Amino acid sequence: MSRAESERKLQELAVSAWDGEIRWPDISAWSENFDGRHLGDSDIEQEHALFALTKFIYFGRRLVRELLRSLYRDRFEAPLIQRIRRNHRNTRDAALLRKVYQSELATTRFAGLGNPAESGAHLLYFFRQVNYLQKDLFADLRSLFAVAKDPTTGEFLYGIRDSGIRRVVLFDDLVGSATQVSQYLLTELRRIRRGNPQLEISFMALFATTEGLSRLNEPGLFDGRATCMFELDDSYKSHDAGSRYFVATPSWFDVAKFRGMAAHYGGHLRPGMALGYKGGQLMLGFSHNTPDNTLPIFWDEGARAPWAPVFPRFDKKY
Amino acid sequence: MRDTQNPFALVRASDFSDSQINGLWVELGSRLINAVIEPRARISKYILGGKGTGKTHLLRYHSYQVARLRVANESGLQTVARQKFLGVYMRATNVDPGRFEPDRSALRKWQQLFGVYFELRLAEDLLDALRDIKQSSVEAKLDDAKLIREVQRSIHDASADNLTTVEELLTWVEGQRRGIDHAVDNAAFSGQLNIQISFSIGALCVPLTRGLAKWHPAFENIPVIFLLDEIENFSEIQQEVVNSLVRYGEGVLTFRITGRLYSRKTLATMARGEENREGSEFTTVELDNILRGFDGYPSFARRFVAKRLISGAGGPGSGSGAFDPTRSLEELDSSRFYDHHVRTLGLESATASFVRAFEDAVDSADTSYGLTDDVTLVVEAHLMGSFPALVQRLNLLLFCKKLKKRTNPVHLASTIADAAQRFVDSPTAERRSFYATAYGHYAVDLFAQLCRESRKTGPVYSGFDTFVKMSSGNPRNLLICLGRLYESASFRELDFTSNAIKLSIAMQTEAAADAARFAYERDSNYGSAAEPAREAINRLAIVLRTARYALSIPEVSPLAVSFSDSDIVGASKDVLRAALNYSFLFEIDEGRPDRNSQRLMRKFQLNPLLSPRWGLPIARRGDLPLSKDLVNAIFDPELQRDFEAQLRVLSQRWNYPFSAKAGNARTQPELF
Repeated sequence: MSRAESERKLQELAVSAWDGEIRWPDISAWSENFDGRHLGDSDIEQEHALFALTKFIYFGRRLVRELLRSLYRDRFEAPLIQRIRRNHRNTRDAALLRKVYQSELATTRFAGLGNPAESGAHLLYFFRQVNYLQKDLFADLRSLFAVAKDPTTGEFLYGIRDSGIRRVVLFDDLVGSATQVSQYLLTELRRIRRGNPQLEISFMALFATTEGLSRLNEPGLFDGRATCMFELDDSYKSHDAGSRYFVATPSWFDVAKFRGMAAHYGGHLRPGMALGYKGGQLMLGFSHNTPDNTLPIFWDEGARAPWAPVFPRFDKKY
Repeated sequence: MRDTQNPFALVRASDFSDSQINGLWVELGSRLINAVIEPRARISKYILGGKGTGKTHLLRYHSYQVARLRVANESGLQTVARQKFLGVYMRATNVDPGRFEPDRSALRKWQQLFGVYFELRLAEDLLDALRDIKQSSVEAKLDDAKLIREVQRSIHDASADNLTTVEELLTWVEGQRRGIDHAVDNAAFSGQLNIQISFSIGALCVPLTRGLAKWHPAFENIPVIFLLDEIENFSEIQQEVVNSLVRYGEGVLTFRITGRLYSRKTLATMARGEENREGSEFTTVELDNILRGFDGYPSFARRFVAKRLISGAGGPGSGSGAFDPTRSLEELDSSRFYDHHVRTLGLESATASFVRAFEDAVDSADTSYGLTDDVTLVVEAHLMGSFPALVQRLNLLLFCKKLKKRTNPVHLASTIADAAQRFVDSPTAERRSFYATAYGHYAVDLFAQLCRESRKTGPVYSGFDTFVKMSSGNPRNLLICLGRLYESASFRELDFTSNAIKLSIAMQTEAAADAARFAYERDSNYGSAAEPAREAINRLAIVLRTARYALSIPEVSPLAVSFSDSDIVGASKDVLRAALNYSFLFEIDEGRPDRNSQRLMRKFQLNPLLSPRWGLPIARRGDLPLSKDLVNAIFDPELQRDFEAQLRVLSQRWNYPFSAKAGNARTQPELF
């Protein structure tokens, strides 16, 4: 009954938790990818794959919007209001707090990390909608800063175009290993800080691995001002000994078999990153995209070997 | 996912409009319906039934308001003449009965007030029907004055003296009712009940009903039937009011009262009056029993499903429909010893586990059975041969059942194998053989055993007839099953209503399991009394499951049990009653005397809607006799340890039939 139980659970997930965004034909076609090449029995492989799919963490549109609401409220608005209260002798004057908060908000700019066509910037549109924020609070880095040269050292620096801006919040949807982003940001942030020593620069993400978040919080980067809504520790790694996905499994489910399958098929699909980018091993995805840190067996569209994804990833074209 | 509404969604008949009540009505046959509702009988009647047996639908269908819509352009008087009775429908919850018991120290006062209010609501509904009759029967000579005079005689309030028309009387009744509403609502805050009562209980509806013949001669032989729904919502003292109206209604105030099986809280009348008696003041019918024994139920079920599909969820039905649910559901193919499924489900592999179980039984055998290692090898060779898996399993079962201490095991095995071979070679010619009889008895259970041992599946449930049997005459249960199936098919983007495809056995099995899960876990939240009943059912089902999946199955298709009425004692009695009330169990008949002891034996069957939860059959054949100790260990919530000990003994007996100490349990802490 293992397969039937997984299918029943997937039905409930698809209808109730995944907002109907994943359809049965996608699930069915995906399960048929597992044709027995690894374990020698397609039934066993498919049973394992379907069970693992029931453990996949999917954030549908409603959930992502709710996370964006929480991110703004809990990671930006509440800390700022707390700071304003402290600066006003812990006042409880709600009208005063609201007024000062609005003026602080007006000196803030939210900017997506990376290209405006990437997922981080894309989510800023919904971030603005769900939090009822004005359009002019959003900008990209290029429009915020003008390149200049330090007259004494001759080094490049970024001067802020609007001197009234006191705070810049950079935004992304997911931080994985943070290696790429930190390399890119290291130079950019140094130039911004050099040009604007008083400017407060922070970073917010919906999701971040513990490792990635730690890297972003290093002194040369955001120096403790990087935060996220949903921190992904090692328990979110499918192949980790303490993986949360397979804590209470039925007796027939052999996690080693599944891990072997993920590595085997993942290796064919993405040589060198069978378990996801930088060995991410994640089993999560969003309605707008699936991160490449997730196991490729869930998202790869079969460019190298025929494969039907269940949570397709829309890859970047560099 | 297909964006469709589930036509089998559970919608309460109380939420239907009047036209939907007509549209979704499926005729059970006028003889059966008349036997239930007896619309012309002048004696009141309780119509009791479990959730979903159609009580509300039945009452509303017989109400004047719904009957009026069945024939276009008909006058109210013509409707009454066609119906030959005037049905006035009222839900018990409409009177908001909870308001009438705020003060436990003055219950009798509030009982009186409730009685007056209840009667005002009955009169209001009746007068509403009379007003409609009057408005729609313009040609008829309706004598309002005579009717009003009949009523005025028993009203001691001057405000009623000048009433002359039905409409004015209705307005007066509404005013009285609103006055009580106002006073009762305020009493909740002020603690004061300031109210004047303008008639005594019975003095409004009795004269009003009696006066109808004076209103128009057509009512001379037309009984007025008050259709009171969901009586369980009335408290004990409120039911005393109803009982008093039933008793003192003088043959003109007649009720049809529906409620759950446990709805009747008292038979007493008000002011410590006499109790009403079955057959004298009222009769009772239990819908569940009638529907379970109704031969036409399968045909009804087909029409019921077709109507649901045509109407969609909640929409009015309009035609008979050509959809045949039997053609959309794949059924088990039992030909050639279920060969097709044995192959497709990989059931051959299950044989090894039966052989192991048999060898375990032999290992623990008493030496007097003569089952030495050498003998066992020969016996196994005979019984297993190259027979189909199901036949091999039957051979083992027959051997277990037939081997006695003085029997030659090899000879017995050889005899069984010969009979099996003849049956396999020519089932038709051998149809009268003992082997054919045994196959007929045990094939379904043994196939379930094979499935259960298989890695790919568990016991399977498929075919429309299976779902009909699972519903046990209860249309709501059928909707639960088909609703699950529809959801599952819809998710897979399959349109099983088109008759173009057949839903797989696996999908049906999962829907059946889901329906059982829903019925057991979520649809049975009746409060604290249901919890011990639910646990007792779990224990009972575990006993039945142990029997069904035993090496030496003790009873064919074990779904029923029997025990002596005198054996069940103490708390067990209450739990058994609750299990019956909440339809976890059905009592099969009134009881029969045991042939030997002449004690009264009672027979109970598990509700087959629950069967898939434990892999049990949906149809019963034999009944498993339960000892006094076992029956109390099942139904008494405090006897969990006793139950576990008893279960071990049974498991030992059924799985180790040759054991020297068949009564002693082997260590087997967890059976499943």
